[in-house]
Amino acid sequence: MKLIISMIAIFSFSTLFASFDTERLRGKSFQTYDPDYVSISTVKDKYGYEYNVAYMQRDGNRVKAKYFAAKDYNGTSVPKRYDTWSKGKNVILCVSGTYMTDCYTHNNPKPVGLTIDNGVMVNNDIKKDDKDALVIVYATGGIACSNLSDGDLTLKGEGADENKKYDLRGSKWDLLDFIKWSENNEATVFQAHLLVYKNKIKVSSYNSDNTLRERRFLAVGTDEDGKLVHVIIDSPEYTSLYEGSKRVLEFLNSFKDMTVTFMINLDTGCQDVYYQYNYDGTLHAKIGGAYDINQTVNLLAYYFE
Amino acid sequence: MKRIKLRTYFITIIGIIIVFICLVVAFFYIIKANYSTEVYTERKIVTTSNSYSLEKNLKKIELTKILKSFPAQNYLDSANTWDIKAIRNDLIMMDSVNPGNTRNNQEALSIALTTELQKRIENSYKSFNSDSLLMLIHWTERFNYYADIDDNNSTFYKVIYMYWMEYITNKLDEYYNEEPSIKYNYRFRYLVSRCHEKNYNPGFGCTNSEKVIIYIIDSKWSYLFNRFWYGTGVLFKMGCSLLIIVLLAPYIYLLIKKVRKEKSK
Repeated sequence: MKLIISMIAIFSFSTLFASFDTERLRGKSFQTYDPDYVSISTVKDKYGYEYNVAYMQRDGNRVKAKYFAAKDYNGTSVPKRYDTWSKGKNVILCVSGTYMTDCYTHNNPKPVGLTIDNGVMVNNDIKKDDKDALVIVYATGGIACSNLSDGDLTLKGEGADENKKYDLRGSKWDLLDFIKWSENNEATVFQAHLLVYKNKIKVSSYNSDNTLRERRFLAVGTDEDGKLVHVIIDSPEYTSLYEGSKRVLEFLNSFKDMTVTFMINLDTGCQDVYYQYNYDGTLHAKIGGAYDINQTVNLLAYYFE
Repeated sequence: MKRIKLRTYFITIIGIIIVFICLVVAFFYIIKANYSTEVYTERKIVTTSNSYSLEKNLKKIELTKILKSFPAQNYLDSANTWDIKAIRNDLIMMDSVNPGNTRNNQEALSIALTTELQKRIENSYKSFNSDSLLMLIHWTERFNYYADIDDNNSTFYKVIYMYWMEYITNKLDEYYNEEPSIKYNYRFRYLVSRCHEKNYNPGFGCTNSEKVIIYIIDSKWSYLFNRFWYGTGVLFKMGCSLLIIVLLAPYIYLLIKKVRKEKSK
């Protein structure tokens, strides 16, 4: 009898521990981030337009970004890569990134514009149209953006000429140097619409998508104290890209007096994926995208360390 | 009674005609793509002997400013740009005439073989011509192979390879933007696949009508309704409503008539 009771007890404890451990590893119910660094809110601007805002302070380098640009070499999909990576991580949010071809048909989608994933080339084709933002996500969790039309990218790290200004669109020699630098530094790179740069709007109603639809943006800048902040702004109101960008810039400038270094567009079309977690690890009830994470073909994640 | 019957027939016929016209338009839209599955074989590029003396011409120019003074036009007039071996020999010769300036020599020759050459051949690519594009891909690929085996000039070959692959990708984008149905053309798809295998992705997606069909197939009705309701103008909504009314009117009319008939019994 004692043997049976002890076996049942051992079985119960091991099951309990296993479920605890799995939950912890999955980062769903035991993950946490410091609310002093991350605040999630739904705010209305002075015109009455509503925004869902994830406001993250990069001060102290505790909030970090990670970008999954495409399938890896073995053909592992982005949701699977994310699932493996996120185990044990305190994920703040994950959201679809930039544009993909054949995204609607799910027929082997490929990223649009120059894309490098952890130093591995995904798309060599640097777009010369309106996608002026070259976004670099560093292995250390930081994000930088260069305006490709200015042709003045500066690089630091292994294999970089720190005094040189790289013109990636104008010179293939510079582009080749940049690709080598990305490989050496395991950088992740993608191209996107540059909506705001150095606190100035870069799109107009003539050179951007005038379709009315919900919008989502990534804005990086500094707050009133000059500290670096990253903001994901979800705008459920249907607007054109220009109108939406203009309103959001005005809102961010007044919201905590933020100066926007750059703002890019995030896909709300065929891969409208957005998972926002509360500080206790639960999924936010109101803020989110329309689709399941399995629909995504690229993903920007923020996590806390 | 007869007048009512005639009106019923008239409305029904109009409804059928509208549906028929829609089907015919969709049919022609689908069949106008070229579905020929003919696969091209790689053609041997005919090379001619190089009578142009680059060496003599280089001695006439200011070599410290070779990037600006390189005789690109004369070079392209006479040199055999399709012959990669000849280009390699030209590079070796340039290094012997202008020693210690390898990077500038390479850049000068690369400008001739990229931007200057593009100006000359641009007209051949104004409209979609799969033969010319495929030939260009074959030529471009060879620079990539040379980059792997010639370490000294690897960057030079890579630069030319990247330039022309990007050119081809952008051209495919252009053709698609001019005529979206070209993406169903087998030869076009073949060229796109060739670009894909080299990590060059032409960036075309779906037209709005294709997106609507995909959303219908995926049964994303709430999304479709939201896009229709919030994302379209009043005129579009009115047009769609009118079309639906015209299509449904005969059936509603018949239904009302049937109900009335049954009531009168």
